[in-house]
Amino acid sequence: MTKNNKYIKKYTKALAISALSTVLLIGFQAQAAQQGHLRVSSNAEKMIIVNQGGKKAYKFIPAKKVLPGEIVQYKTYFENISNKPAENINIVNPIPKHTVYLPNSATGQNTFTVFSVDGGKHYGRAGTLKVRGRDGKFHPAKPSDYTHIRWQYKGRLAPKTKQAVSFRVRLR
Amino acid sequence: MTQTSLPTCVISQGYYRYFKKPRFLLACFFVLFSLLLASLAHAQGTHAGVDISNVVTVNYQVNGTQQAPVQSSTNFTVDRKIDLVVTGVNNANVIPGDTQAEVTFKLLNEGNDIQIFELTPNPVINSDDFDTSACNTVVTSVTGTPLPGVSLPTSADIKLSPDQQALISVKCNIPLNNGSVPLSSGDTSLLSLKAVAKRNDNETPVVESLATDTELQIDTVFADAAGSDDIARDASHSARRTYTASTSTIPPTLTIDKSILEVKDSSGGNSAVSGSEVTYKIKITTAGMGTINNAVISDQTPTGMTYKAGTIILDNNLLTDSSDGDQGDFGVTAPNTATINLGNITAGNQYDIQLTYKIN
Repeated sequence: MTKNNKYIKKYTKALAISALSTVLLIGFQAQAAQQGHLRVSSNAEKMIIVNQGGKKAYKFIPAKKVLPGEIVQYKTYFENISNKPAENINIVNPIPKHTVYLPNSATGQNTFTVFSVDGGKHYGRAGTLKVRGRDGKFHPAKPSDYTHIRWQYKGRLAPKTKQAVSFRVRLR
Repeated sequence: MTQTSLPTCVISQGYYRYFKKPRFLLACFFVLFSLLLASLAHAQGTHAGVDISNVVTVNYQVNGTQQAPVQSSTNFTVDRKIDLVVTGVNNANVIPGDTQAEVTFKLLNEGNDIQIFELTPNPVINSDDFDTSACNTVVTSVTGTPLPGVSLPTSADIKLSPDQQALISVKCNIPLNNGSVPLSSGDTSLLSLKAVAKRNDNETPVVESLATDTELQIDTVFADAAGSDDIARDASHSARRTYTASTSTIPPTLTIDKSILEVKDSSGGNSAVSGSEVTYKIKITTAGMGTINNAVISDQTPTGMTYKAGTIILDNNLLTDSSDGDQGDFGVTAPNTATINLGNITAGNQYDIQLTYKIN
């Protein structure tokens, strides 16, 4: 077992309490949050089709006017604002309520992306997940079954560097 | 911004090998079919005003020490889509001098919010032979349960929830002459019915949001198509029906034709065995001239069968079994009988009724 994993176990309880208090403190109001070594910010953009020299092109505009059926892209930036490298970075994003994850839309440089279909209890690669159907048997999960996405950043994020992950949903 | 791969369906680079496998294709089909079903269940989508919140949490370590998680969130409010479709249903064959001859329309709320619609008939259309007058517009029934405050039939503005459809009757007087010339057989008069999304559920007027968009407010977007007598994206839609005059005096006739539309057994086949569901189609056709008054269609449950609740369909509109805003009931007007009240029918109209019984 690595040193890091030992720490994870040791601090799980403290982490849970701290996570809960963070949720309570931040609530739903924060646009961007800054704490400790990482600065995290996120945005939502709507995908629209525009005519670019007679050809269809996709453009992203701030998600302000959004109607059912439209596609929204969420992007999360994480920047190391300290002078020490950050490691074991995990980005967890529940799929927003009333939206459906768009297949193959999760991106992130130097990341390993996994999904959950059980509210974030277990994660697996896209295509490996199964859900229990009404017939009691397990079926391959559909993108609409996804409840969470997790990006595991490979390696360390050097000081003063910024990375981003993104995914897209369709508003039901 | 980093441009990422566009959402292609289920298959991405590196997964093409699966595409050759029938099982994968079947899974893909199943996914698409389920999405289709899901979209049908909530055709008009998330209701206006619903808050869509996204919260992302980042956990990390520095020098092997777990740091406090960092969160960031974004919010936006689902906006109001104004969309409606008026469709012409029945035309009418009339005799010069007929009073209150009926044509019918349907209005579907295709938006994602409750709207109050104003209905305006226009009998003065340039491209026809004569104009009707004294037109009265009445909403005779709606699909599903009428919203609170809606009592049917009504000549007032009609309030509809998303996906709800209203059946509308427009009755007009037919002139004897066009100017000083008597109407002749084959002369036509067009009637246009326009519906306008006038007010929101809280009685505020429907106004398109043209100012700067806001995340946390309900903006209003017009998404309707152009109708026969209106333009696209104007919160209104229209359709036309035709009155055709005849000077002949053939009295109106009504024909009923009942046939079996479908037999479904419990194992997915078409055998008429115990437990099978039999769907009947009753087609009502009218011909001749004038009006047929108080037409009521009764279908008594056949011997050895039981009515399957909630299966009365009139012109593709599902009616309820209770005696309420719509034109049908089961077992209320007469025991063990489906009753569909068509009221006064102007000759030339036709109706399709479907109902399902189970074999005992």
